Amino acid sequence: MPTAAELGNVILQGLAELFRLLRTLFIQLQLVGNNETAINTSRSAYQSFWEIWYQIGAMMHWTVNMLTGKGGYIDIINTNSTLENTFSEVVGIAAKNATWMIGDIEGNNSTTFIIKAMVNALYNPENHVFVANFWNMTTEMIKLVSDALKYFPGYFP
Amino acid sequence: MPLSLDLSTVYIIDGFQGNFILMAELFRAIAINSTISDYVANDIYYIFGFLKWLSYFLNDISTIVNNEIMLGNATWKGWLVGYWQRVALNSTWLFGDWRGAWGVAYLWNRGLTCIQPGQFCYSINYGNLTTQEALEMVKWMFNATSEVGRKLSIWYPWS
Repeated sequence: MPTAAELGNVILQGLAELFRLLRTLFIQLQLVGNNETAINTSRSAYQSFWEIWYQIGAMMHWTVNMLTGKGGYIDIINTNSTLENTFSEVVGIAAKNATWMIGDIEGNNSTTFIIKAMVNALYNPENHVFVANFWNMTTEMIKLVSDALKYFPGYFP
Repeated sequence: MPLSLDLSTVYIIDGFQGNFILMAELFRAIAINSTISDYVANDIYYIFGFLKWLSYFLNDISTIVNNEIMLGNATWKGWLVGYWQRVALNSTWLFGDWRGAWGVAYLWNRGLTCIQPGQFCYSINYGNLTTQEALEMVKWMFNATSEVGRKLSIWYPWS
């Protein structure tokens, strides 16, 4: 079986590769956004980016409405005594199992165990790529958003 | 409201309800069977290994697209930008609009309307039933998480 140090290593390596992938995708979105005018001159840069953003916003709006709106699912919990009891059972289970779900202050169990394994593995010199990839991913994300925002005012009059 | 529209809304809610029941069964199996929760604790190591491999694979494809296509070939560049614009053109019908008249937003709008007092889903008690199934799923999810969480330090020794 792998040790805790090996578990921390593989978690950091997995996340490092995920950050590297996200960086590549953000670069691709920048390249696509800057080339939108090449296809249809009536549309400026980052048109599709903001159109998709806007419609996903509408979808999220109705998702939140369904959950928190009048007569929605959270309203149902608050107005039905049976469901209110079930909900208090859910909270009770969470409270009873908090040590095993979230963890303890020494990091011997659950989520804190995983974080402790990650933190210890971070001191291993071969895992410095994790920090570098996280930094590069964040940089490209900020570049993408700030570049797209330059063209934003023209879209939704 | 025509009955067929109410029925199709019920089918969609049914799909989510079935998913809640399935997930509750899976979490319950993890929570009550210590062999299965042992396997899940082991699997965390392999899931992150798979994430590393999958990200590496997708990153290779994206790098080729970025460098060979987006920076090199004007025709292919046009196609790739065209695909994104085609998604954007259809995004109202895919994701929906702010009035909730189209796309996924329409489905959530219909569901919310249907579980209101006096509506069809309310009359067959579907709002309460779906909420009950969701809460049961969360209960078993918490139990399963705690069963796996208490086994990590057993399966991953520090030395």
